[in-house]
Amino acid sequence: MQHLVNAISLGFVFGLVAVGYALVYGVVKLVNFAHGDVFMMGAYMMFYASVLFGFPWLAAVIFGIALTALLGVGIEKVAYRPLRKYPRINSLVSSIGMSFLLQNFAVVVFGGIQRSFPVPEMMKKTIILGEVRIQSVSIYTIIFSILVVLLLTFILQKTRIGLAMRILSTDFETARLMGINVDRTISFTFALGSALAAVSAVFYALRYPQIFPFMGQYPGSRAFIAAVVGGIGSIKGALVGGFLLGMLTVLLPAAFPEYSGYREALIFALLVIVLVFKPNGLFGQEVGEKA
Amino acid sequence: MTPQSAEATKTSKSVAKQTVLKMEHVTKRFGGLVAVSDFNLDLKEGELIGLIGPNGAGKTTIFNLITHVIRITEGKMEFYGKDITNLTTDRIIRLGIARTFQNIRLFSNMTVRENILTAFHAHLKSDLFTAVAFLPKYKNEEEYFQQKTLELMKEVGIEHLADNISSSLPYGLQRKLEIARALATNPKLLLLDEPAAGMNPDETLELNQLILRIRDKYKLTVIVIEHDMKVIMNICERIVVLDHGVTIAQGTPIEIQQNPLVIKAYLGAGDEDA
Amino acid sequence: MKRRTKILLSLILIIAIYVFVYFSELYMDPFIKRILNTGLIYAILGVSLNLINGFTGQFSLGHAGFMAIGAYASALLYMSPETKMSNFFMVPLISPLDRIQIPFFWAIIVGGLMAAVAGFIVGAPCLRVRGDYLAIVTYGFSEIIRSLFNNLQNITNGPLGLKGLPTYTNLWWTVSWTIITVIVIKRIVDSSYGRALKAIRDDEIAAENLGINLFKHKVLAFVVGSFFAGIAGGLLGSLLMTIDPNSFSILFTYQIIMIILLGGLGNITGSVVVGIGFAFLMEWLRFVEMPMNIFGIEFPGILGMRMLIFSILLMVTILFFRQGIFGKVEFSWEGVARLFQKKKVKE
Repeated sequence: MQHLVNAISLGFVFGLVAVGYALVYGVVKLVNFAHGDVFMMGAYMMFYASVLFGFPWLAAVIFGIALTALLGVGIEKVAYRPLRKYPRINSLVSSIGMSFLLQNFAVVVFGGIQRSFPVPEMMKKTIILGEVRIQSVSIYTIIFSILVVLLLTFILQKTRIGLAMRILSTDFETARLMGINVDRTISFTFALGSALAAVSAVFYALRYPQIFPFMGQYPGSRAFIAAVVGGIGSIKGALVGGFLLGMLTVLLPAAFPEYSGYREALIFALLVIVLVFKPNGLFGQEVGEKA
Repeated sequence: MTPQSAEATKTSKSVAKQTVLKMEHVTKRFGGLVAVSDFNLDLKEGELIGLIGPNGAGKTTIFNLITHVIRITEGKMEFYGKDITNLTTDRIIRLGIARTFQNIRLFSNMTVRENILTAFHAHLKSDLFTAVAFLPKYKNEEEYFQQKTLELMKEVGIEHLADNISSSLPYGLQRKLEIARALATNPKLLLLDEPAAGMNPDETLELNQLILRIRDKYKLTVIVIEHDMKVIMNICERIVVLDHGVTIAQGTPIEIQQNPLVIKAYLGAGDEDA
Repeated sequence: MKRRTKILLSLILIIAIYVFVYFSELYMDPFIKRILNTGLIYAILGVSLNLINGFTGQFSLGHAGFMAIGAYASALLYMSPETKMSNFFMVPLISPLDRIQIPFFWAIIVGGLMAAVAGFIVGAPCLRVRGDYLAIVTYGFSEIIRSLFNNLQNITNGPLGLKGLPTYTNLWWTVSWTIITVIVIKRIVDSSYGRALKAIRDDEIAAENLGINLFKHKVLAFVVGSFFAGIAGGLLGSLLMTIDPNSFSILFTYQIIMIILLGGLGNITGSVVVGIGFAFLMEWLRFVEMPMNIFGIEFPGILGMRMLIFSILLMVTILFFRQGIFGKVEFSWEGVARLFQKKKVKE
């Protein structure tokens, strides 16, 4: 039970980061390798807002989310937009480079040492239900994640910009013909995806309150695998993939402690197997063959 | 669905000749969309037939099915009596089918010569080691390919452009290069997908000559997809008309020109390329 | 120019290189020598990855994994049983690896072959996966390899890695292997096989419609490319004298990708020159991290600056030099001849 709640809340964290991958992939067909590092930048911005500038906790979080969204837009403008007219692999390499750049930027500017993320008192409590001890963070994570997902669904389904994103994800040319501002929609997509990364960074940092320049790698690769396994480009798939990964991460070592070392190998094997045998993921749409 | 018009379905006169390609009840569906429906063809050695129809009639799809670029949904295909329905593209090509593409697919970073040389690779007998070590066996093969490439370039009249990058050639010459490249695979059956597209009338006339000449010289059987009726009516012995994936008529150029169903299909689609 | 003349000129060049090696081994500063060795290993890696990424157009992110296999397989074979014993103090090395010791040359070859086998396995998904998906699959494979190496303690000694590897690697080895790699891969790309690979890169469907077996040729590129990556791994292990699974992370692959991007995809000369240059650049950039004194002002050394500069360079390359700094210019004897002729005309 304890493990299960743990797994679900971690699943949500991975799921939210994965949705960021899925959104960006859905619209621009780019696997954004820098997404995990945007996540890391989000955590740092909140840290500095709170510790250095003395913002109240909630204000620091909102400030961090806004700034991360801006960062996402900036990255797209500098690193991906100029390459849009070239083969997709160029943007992929660019995102790898960007990931690298952000990490090293963080090492130089923020320093290589770990810093402790501020955790408000109410998040530190442990709820005890009979035998089961549940951290309150887990509960908050689950509640807020559900809210965020609902909000996201609303944006995608009910707003104009959400409609524009959905059209863009099927066909660039059609979108252009319909008078959709492609650049603006893509910017918005990156803003949204990065904001999601920042939100999940909050929950992640509450759970593991040590932040450091390479902290984005692990959840980033997890979420990335979640997005691919779920069917990259599909929001639902990303969430389900996140859950799956959360379960594997928490429950596998709990069930088979002696093999916990092979967890990484197993998870990456899952990635490879899904890509090779079901390249569109568990929930991805069929892509028609073309000659 | 339109029933097949019986009067137009006259079979070829040359009964004694061997069947090159036989397609039986070939159907291709993309999801719910039927791209080709119950297509039948019995192609005899040396024939030159035309495949026509309005845009979206499924002509290119048939070529893609023959070379297995896309998988067949139902039906059967035989090439010289051998079942090729489930063979991979490269094997089908090596059996002796070659094609060109509607939207020209040359290797754009390579020279004219290299484009043709590449097509010989499928018939290379030397293994990698022999090739890397440049042993006599490979050296002989390479020399033979080089010489054949020169012949083919001369055949279509582009030998003076041998070392130009293929994408720098004018449109008409790119089409000819593609034909030369297809010939290099040593085919028995040649599939030409709109070879005259983008050519001026003089070039088209020249193309007609070229198609007839290579058919005789290399003992080919040819299927041509074309919108330009000057090509189809002048060189084809038999024509198959498709509309929305359905074969609506088959016969000699004169029969086709007088067929009311064909006229209706073309007028209905508002597509009079001729 | 005649083929015979070209071979002769190449032979002269190779002899000249070996004369240089002979004197370098005797008189060169060991520090410089070490960087040069590293650079040559980078060159081998660059050229071999270029065969997969540049010539065949199969975007692979798995090169560090192949290297790791080569490095470990060879090290376990050329290390002496005593060194192995002192390394594997936690969990003993499995038999018969703990007793075997074979000459360096053969150990390196076996390392290369093992990497080639891995290349075959990694290349096989090419049949179904393309483009960025293939990049992800290869990345996944290299992470699997790293994870296995971290866990198979009785073979790899786990995260502790292997220490005290004997230093066999010297310029004779690295130069020879660089020459072999360049010649073999140049020969492949210039042969009929190379044309098929380039055809696959330019247009897969057209290549397939010329009867080229896509699977066979893609796997071929992977096998040959990973063989040389394994060789480079073996050489690097013996140069660094210590290896551990985490030094072969995706970061290493990025560095090689940077080399081939800068040198130009599909440009062998570029990979060699940039590979060697890259080693010197990275070494030179170390000074950035040391405390400096500029115009009398003390600057403290900033940790990580080197990698930051490296990543900025990588981004600049991607954004502005997609053709690489060498573009399509390759070294050839004809080119050299032309250079001389131009000079004569000017005179």
